[in-house]
Amino acid sequence: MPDEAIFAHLPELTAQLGVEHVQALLDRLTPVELEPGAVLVRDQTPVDAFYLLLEGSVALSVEVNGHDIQLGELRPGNWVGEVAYLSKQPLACATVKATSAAKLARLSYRDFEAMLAEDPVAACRLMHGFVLMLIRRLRVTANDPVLDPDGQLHIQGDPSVNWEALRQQELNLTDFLRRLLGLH
Amino acid sequence: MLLKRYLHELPGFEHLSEADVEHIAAAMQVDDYPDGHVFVYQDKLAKELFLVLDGKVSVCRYGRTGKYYCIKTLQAGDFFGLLSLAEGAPSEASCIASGPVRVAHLPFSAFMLLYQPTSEIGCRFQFVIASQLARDLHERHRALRELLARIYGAGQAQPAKEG
Repeated sequence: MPDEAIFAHLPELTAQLGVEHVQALLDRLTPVELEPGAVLVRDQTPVDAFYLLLEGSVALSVEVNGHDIQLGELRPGNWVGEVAYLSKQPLACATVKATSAAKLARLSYRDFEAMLAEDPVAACRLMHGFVLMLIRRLRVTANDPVLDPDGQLHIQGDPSVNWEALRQQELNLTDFLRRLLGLH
Repeated sequence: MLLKRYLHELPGFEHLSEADVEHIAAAMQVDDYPDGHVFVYQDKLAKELFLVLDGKVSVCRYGRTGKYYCIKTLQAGDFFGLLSLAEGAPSEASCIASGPVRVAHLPFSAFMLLYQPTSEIGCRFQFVIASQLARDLHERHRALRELLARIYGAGQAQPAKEG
């Protein structure tokens, strides 16, 4: 992907996939740019790719009959498009709209399948990143929607994974076992 | 029912080898539970990964206002307890047998090995976890759309207006 925006995320992608596997992903990414307010994907319309947000921010929402519930904003380093692929549903499960000028990297489902065949470890490790993002979004959307003073329904909470913070609080098995056993 | 054969049919398991599925099936224990059995309590840590094999499990929670309601019903082929186990954080909801159920459960220690993407089997197991979480999030978004339809009136779904 001949775009310098990806270089800011190389350390993160390399840490996630491993230095010997990151190329398999980079070879298949294509750049996408969005103007503020542009819709990348519309809820319940066909989707055929994952998108990695490189710069800017995008808002997620679900829509029915011209009304929506805002699900929060994603920050760079987060992906969209994984729910439709993994749940084997052909339609997007949310609208993704740029809230500022945004740069993204597109990985088509077809290219992901090719990467899976060529370098399954890269695909598996990318999948672990999707797992962490899905956990975050499930936690946030478990909250009940609230109505703000403007009459807009939204869900409180940050749906973005903060990769840096996550690295600093690596899963501590001892702490987890202590909590599991009720030893605080 | 042969658990190994059953697992093979579940989403995400197509990425695992025959030996992987055999190891996972061997680590799981299958038991029958009566109506009302609580597998996971809201605000408590899940201690195992559960898989519904037969029957139904209700997922219910107390909301912020104290109202108790059921979010969804799990059926054969659904995993639960995943979010709490993966994060080491309390569960958002309780999971309760709705009628007699048969459930397979994977101990915490085995789950932790499968959750780490650094091992070969763990790497491939990420597809199983991701598939279940994606289905859960898809279901949650569908419930939010239903809520919108109830608030603003049902009708043919149309995209929201721009801006």
